[in-house]
Amino acid sequence: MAVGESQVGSGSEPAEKGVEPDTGWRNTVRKIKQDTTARWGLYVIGFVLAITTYTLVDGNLSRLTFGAMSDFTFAEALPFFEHPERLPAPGEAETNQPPVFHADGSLSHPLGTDPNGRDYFTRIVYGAQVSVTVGIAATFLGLVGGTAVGAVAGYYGGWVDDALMRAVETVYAIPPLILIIVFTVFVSGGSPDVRFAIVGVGLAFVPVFARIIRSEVLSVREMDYIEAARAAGVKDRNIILRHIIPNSFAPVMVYATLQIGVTILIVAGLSFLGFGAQPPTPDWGEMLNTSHGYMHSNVWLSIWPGLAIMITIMGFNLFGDGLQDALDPRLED
Amino acid sequence: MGLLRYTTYRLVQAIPVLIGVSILTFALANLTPGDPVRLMLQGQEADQETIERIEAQYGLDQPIHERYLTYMGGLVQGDMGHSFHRNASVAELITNRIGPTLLLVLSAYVFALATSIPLGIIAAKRRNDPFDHVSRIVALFGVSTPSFWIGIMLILIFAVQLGWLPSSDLVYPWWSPETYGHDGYGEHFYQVIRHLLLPMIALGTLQMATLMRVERTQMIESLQGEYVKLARAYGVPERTIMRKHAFQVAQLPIITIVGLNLSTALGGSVLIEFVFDINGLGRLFYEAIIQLDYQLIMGITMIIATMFVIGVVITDIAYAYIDPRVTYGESE
Repeated sequence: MAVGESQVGSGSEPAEKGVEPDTGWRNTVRKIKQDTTARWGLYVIGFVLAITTYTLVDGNLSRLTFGAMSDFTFAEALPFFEHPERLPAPGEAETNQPPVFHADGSLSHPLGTDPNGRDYFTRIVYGAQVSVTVGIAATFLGLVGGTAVGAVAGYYGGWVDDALMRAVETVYAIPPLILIIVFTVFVSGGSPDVRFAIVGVGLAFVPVFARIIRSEVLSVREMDYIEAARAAGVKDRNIILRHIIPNSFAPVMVYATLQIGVTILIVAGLSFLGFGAQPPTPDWGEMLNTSHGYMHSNVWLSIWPGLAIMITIMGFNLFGDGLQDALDPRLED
Repeated sequence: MGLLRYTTYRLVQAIPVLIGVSILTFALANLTPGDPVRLMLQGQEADQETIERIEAQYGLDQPIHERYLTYMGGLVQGDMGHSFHRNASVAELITNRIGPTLLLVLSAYVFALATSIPLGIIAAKRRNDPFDHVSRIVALFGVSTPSFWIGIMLILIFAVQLGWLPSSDLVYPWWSPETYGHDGYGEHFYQVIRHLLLPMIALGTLQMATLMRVERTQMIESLQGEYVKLARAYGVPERTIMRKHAFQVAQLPIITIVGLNLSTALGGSVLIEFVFDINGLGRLFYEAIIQLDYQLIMGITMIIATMFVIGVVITDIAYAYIDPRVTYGESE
């Protein structure tokens, strides 16, 4: 909207000019390219995803799932990097080093070291792994669950709709963070970790997606081509999967992008309280939890992880906003 | 007339949801792998006899549906069970801790509304000029930054570095000034505000940002409405158009969002109370989770869900009251 408003003649009278209607993926992509907001969002997301992919390839996946650390990472060979989890030998640990621009800082630890003497820069970089993968995985889970529930409820209507929507309302009535904590702690039998968090967050976000999909389905359901498919004897399942879901997907994509930001926010809170990623796994929320006790002695420990979370979420929010503007012509003027 | 009936109708509608919540929390607490007795013992070795004794004491030897009915029967009478960890009634623990949370959440809302509505209106009025851009960037930061980190940063700046404001606990306005050794209500009130300021901003920033965005969008849409054009054509002063024609309509979605965002605010209070060491419901929830005090966890979840549902009902009623088009669902 605001920043990228350079298109000529955007606005009130496209219909009179006989321009093609503003639909279709190609048009959306073109609009995103023109929208500065969306473009910057994409740059940030691309940057964070590149880091995440690198840490996934370099370390190993077990960090994400079992909290175990890998013996070796390629990053150690690079300047500024160290092993993200391994503790330095007691004698040579340089604990609580300030960052490089501080008078006592050194270039070997650009962002300083944590209370255990590990390089903070490495941990911040590897911290992207948990936040981003959990954010995307949990959102995807919520999207799949919500699509299933919403599509079935919207398509069949009647008592199916009533029953499913009551269930959705129930889940929705518990604030997500509370529900996720309760779920994670009880289902894991008192020892929460990232795997349970993914499922918990996914479950907590089923209602929002279910509602959006349902209302989309309700409007698509009455279309002539659905009627035609039904008349031609296409099975319900195929109508839902092949016709209804693909046709109601655009607004859901916007929502999913914005939701990834919300998910990362919530997962950070979860780890901050100690119910998400567990030490020694590098995770931004978990790092903020650890640094909470060092707020007076080493301020930097509390600053870097928060900045990392903020920039990542901002990327998804920028892209989501841009996408929304591209798909929703209402506010153009 | 209609409004009263609508209120009753909405409240009755909320009951099945709350029953659903009780089933969900009960199921999570009782059907999941960590069974209550093992959680209670927290890894301590216990012989079969002790386990059976505990099971009998808490009625855990009965089938699940009977246990649920017993629990529900208690809930209806205001008995939310017993916290074995603290050896106290759950209802009592919650009543003691609910005050600070309500104070925190409500003040966060006051902060959010008092800032977002004027800023949103000005941004809409001066669309695409520097003020608009700055306010949109502020809103973007607001929705992208974790509330607990804002809290940590506020503590670092205003409590640790500058030493202007306290970094922990609240001063409760409902306690008398003497308990704190304040002389008179003036100082008492001043201390209440001083202690509340940082947590209020930390919790309210996300709300402020969301509301500001909605306010801006709604005002822009509203200013493009036919009725505004008509009023302009009639030569109604711009100020009156803003105040009477555009503003009122634009507030309706705000009301809905205030209700729905209560969910985020209540969840966020757990984090903020953790950061600022506030002895509220969120902190109690955190402690209950750490201690695996499952009756207390169920009780707090129920109460928080109830607060959210009631909040939504209240905003729905406010919406119906303000918007003349709503007919209180009386289609007959």
